[in-house]
Formats: sequence, C-alpha cells, structure tokens
Amino acid sequence: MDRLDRLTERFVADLDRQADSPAAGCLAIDVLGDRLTGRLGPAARERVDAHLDECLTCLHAFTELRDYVQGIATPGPVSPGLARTLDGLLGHEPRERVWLRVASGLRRALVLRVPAWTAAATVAGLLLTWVAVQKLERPNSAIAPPATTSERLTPAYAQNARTISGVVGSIRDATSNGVDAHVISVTDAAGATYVLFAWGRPTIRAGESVEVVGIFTSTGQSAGSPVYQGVATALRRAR
Amino acid sequence: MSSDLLDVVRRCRGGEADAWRTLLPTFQEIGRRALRSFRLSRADLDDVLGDALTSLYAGGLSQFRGATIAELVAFLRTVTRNRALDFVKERNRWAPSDALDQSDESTMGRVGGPGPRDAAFGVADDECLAFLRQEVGRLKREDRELYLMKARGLKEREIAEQTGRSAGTVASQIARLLERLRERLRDRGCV
Repeated sequence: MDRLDRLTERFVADLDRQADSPAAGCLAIDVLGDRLTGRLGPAARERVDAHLDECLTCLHAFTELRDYVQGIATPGPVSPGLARTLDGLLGHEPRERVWLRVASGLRRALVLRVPAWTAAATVAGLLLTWVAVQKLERPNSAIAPPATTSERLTPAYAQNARTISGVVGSIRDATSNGVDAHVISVTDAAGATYVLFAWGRPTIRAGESVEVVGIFTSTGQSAGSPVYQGVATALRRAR
Repeated sequence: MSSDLLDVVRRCRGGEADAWRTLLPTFQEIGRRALRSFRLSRADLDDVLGDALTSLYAGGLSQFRGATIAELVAFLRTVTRNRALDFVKERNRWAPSDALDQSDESTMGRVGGPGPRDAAFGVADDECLAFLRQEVGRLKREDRELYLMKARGLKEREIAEQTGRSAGTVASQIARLLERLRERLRDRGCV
C-alpha cells in the first residue's frame, strides 16, 4: 500500500463522515435516489447534476447509493453464518450450533454479569478450599478420592491438567475492573470443543493452531461432539 | 427500486419471520457494500453483519422512520457501519501492535488517524490530503466517479456493470487516472 492508497483511504473516510451528517446545501438521499431511478423532471435533474459536478460529498453518496441499488437488484446467496444468525433469532437454531450458545452464555456470564476478578477469585477460592479439605481429611494419603458417578461432578482439582491441541475458533474479551482476561474456544482434531477462561491479554488469534494446558470438565455433547469448559493455565502456538 | 421492500420492512417490524427471511439477502448486500472500505475478512464480515442483524431484530429496525428505499439504504448503512467501527476498535485493542502495522493499517488509519509510516514523508499528511482533495475536485466528473468507486473498493468488473462500460476500458481508465494523481502528488512531495 503506497501513500496515495493511504491518503485515499483517509479521503474516503472523510467523505463517509460528511455523508453521515451532510452540510446544509447537500442533496437529500431520496433526491439522489430519484436521480438514480430517473424520477426527476428535466429541470430538477439539471439542478441535481450541477450540484453533483461541484460537490464531492454528494457525488460520493450518489456513487455509493448506485452501488447499493445494484446489490439490491442482484442479491447474492446469503452466507450460511448470517442465515444461522437469523435462524437463531427466529427460534429455529440448528442443533449443531448449541455449543456456540454454551460459549456465548459463558462469555456473557463472565463479561457482562460477573466481573472477571470475581470469577477468578471464586474459581481460585473453590480450588483452594477443595485442596485444604482434601489435605485435612487425608494428609499424605495415597488413597485415591472416591469415584464419583459422573465426570461432570468431578472437581477440577481432581483432574490432572491436560494438554490439548486445536484451532482457536473465537476469542472474547472478559476484562473487567482493570483485570485482563479472555475466553477462548478451541476445537481439536476430533471435533471436541473447549471453552476456556484465561487470564491476561490474548497472545493468539482466531484461526491459529494452539496447544493449551488446562483443567476442564465435560459439559456434555453437542451434535455428537463433546464440549468441555474450564480454565487454561498455559497457552502457546502449536509448532 | 421497488416499494415492495418497504412493505417487507413493515412486516419485519410486525414480527413476521418470512419477512425477515425475505429481507436478509437485501440486508446482506447493503451491509457488504457499506463495509467495503473496512476490508474485513469473510468471517469478520459475517460477525459484524450478524451483530447488526441482531440489533435490528431486537428493535433497531423500529427506529427507521423513512419512506423511501434510499432512506432505508442509508439507515441500514449507518447501522452496519456503526457495528463495524465498534468491532474494529475492539479488535485493535487486542491485536498486537506489530501485527496491525503489517497487515491492517488501513483499518487502523480509519479509526486512529494516519498510519505510523506517514510520518516518514516530508510533507504533512493533512496537507497532502487537502492537495489530493483539490486534485480530485479538478477531475472531470466521469473520472471523479471512477476514482470514488475504486477508492471505496469496488472491483473493476463491478464498476463496469454500474457505469455501462467494458471492464477493459474501466481498468485502463483507472490505471491512467491513478498514475496522473500519483504524479501530481509526487510533484508536490507527497509520494
């Protein structure tokens, strides 16, 4: 990109801003629409054309409107992602998107309702309490804790940290009250999805292959693929 | 431009699911074209349009008070561009600064002002921008339209469709036009 390109971008950005709040002498958008569709009489058309010859802001709005009208006349196929969004809004969300709702719910809970430091403190508190209870009950004991009936009920402490490899699907900010945190979703080669809370600023981006060391637990299955949620303790790009 | 679209919007506001499905391709076209200059990836574009669609569905569409297709287009343009600006600001907050310098300076320039490398040129950016504006203003209208369409990111094929010229003619006209502007900027010390 050379300097002309960069100046052009700023130029267009300025014109966009001016189009958002046009000057008093500028043409109304419906007048431009009438000019475009040939609904102006000869005198009005001449007046509008004379203005377009002089005013770059209106000429920019006019060419932009022509572009939109062309798009409306020949719409392309709707992208699957956008169609799914509308299905979700209309209450016909396909089953395979359920895990995204899980991720979204987790993100909203962390970002919007619970400050990150509260969530972090709660998780850390629960872990420490569990460790303390275990140590008090079985100091230096080599006996394994009693088996639980469901993996979902297994405390995170009792699970070893595991390393998974996969591709980052999304990264959402979970910062609150000045504490940097984020939530990532990672899908591994087997199709399992991991929704993980991590402290600090993201060091990776969506689409990158990563290795994550984390403690997580199953939340069930979505469309035949397992979904896990938990906390990432280390995260790096895959080599 | 058909007034049927305004009827579709009215039915959307009444909560008709079929009307939303009918509106969707039009919304997508307007949104994609409104966001041309943001140069978003396909996935990001889908995200932004999905957010904009959600806000319209959640009551945003009831804010539309216009009576013409042109006004509807302007309304949808504003909604999608505002979403995109929020998206870009948020992304820039998280992206490593070196990655932005290398791959995304166009969007960065839109939000945060001139790119960092502009400082390397002798003539100040604002002065060159004013000069470019003046030079574009001196072009004949046909060339001005070509420049504005190209600047917004239209492909030559699309420009040809919208202006009724052949793609080859459009390509050579644009190449000549840009070379002329670049030469004028060079004489001024801007390039």
